[in-house]
Amino acid sequence: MPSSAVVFGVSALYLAVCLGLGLWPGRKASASAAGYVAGDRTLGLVLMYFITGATIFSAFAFLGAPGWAYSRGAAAFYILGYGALGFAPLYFLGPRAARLGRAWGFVTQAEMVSARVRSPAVAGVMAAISVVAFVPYLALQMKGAGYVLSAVTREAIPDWAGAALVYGVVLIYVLRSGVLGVGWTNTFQGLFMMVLAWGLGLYLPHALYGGVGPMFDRLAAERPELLLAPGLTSGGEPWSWGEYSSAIVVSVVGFSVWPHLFMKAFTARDERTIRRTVVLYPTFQVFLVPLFLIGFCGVFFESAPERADQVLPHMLMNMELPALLVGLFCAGALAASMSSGDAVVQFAPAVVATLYARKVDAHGVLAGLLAGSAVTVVLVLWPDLRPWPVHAGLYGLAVNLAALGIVTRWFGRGGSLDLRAFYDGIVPADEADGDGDGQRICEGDCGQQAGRAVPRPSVQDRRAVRYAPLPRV
Amino acid sequence: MRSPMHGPLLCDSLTRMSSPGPRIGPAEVLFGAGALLCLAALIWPGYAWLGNRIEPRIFGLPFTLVYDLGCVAAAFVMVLGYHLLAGDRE
Repeated sequence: MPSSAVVFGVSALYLAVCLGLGLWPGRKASASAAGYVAGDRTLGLVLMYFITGATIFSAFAFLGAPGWAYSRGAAAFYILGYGALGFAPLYFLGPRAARLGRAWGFVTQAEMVSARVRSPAVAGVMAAISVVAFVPYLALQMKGAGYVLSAVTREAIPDWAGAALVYGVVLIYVLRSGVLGVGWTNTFQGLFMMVLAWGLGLYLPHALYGGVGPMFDRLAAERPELLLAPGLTSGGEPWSWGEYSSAIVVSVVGFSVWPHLFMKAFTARDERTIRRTVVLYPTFQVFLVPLFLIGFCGVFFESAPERADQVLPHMLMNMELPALLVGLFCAGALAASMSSGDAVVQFAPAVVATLYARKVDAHGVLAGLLAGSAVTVVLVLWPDLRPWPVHAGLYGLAVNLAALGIVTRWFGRGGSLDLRAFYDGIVPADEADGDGDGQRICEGDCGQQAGRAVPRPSVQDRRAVRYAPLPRV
Repeated sequence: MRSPMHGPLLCDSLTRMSSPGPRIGPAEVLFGAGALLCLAALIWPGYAWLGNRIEPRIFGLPFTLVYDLGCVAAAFVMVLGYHLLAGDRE
């Protein structure tokens, strides 16, 4: 039985290191929204790589992935599947968003979309959807952190106190340093998680079965259904190919527009850094393999955990392991929960239309977001209403696209910024200068006019006019 | 009275893009086709036909898992290839 004091000591040391790393960069960021939320747009490749990777590999990956492999078998491989392609859209969307961010001062995708269609209501709806989608996600991280500390200290620290301790540390360094603090701690946590996951993923099969090969020999002989896609449901019934495939499709479409991921495009030093981050991202997927191995280890373990996602701490606490190793696991699980919704996939059409469509309209975007989210939520709550057994988000996405197209085409209010003007940072003059004289300073191709030099409006000027009222017609 | 801060024109020719719409050339077509192939390989029926079996085992791992990892590697090579060929074109 590992000593709770040693386990807690290792975890406390880990939290202290994170706090130091998180507070240190706070001295460098400017005292502005761009400094706090976008790190003054200075993040290089290494920080971007770890900040995206560690954000994705949350408590769900560290505790949930082994839990899925343990209870649902090959169904867990869908996480690998969507990760293979899920970040690729950001290769194209990210540099454009970064360019717009520098020109207009955007630090979130909601700001960007609402500026193009010139409607603060769009930003409000996107914020509301994000909150609804991410409350369970964030709660999962906190519960994961609290659970791990509680489990390894034999409930000497209750769940709520563990969560409060860990997220108290996070709160301090995020308030002090903003995204720069998150970047440095995520780099440390990402490296820590990789080393620990591979260490445990290779050690546990060896200790329990004599190696990875013998473990899968036994699984293939006694539980082959766990090794074949699409795996099982949480109830142990065969999962359908429709659910498995559509879960991957929805995740691929929605992954890159998750708000906390997409906004990293605004933090990058330059567009090349974003592209390189996307290129390198699949290498983070390899980190999932040892987590699957850990989950499969639990199938024939001498006792079963109460819940599937407890399989890793359950095994560690019931093996004769050094307290230091259990403490390191605890720190790794905390790293996963510190570094990190289906409805968020509904942002994808609005973001793509904002960046690429020549015509997009505030009413269309609102209709798409609201209708798509409503359909998704209804079908998640009442899955029997689905005509076919595919992911609820896919129905929402179809409704979202249809509403966006139809309303923009026939029921639009007009007034959105022209696509070229959006990229050029041009705003209708009346909103810009506020003189109300009915004349625009610049229309159409106004890069050069009568050979005059072209002045550049400041980011502050553009931000100031973003939500200006529409011109009187 | 116009603010002198804005000047006579509210645009910056230095930052303008030649075409803000999507640019689709041969590299983009290849990239799109590759991405669709990868996606098709990861879901039904591609996965069911090509990768959904336990044998042959590679490094002790079941073929289903190795196949998924192969798709991840293919996606990596595809994005890397596009990046090297056309990444900085915009």
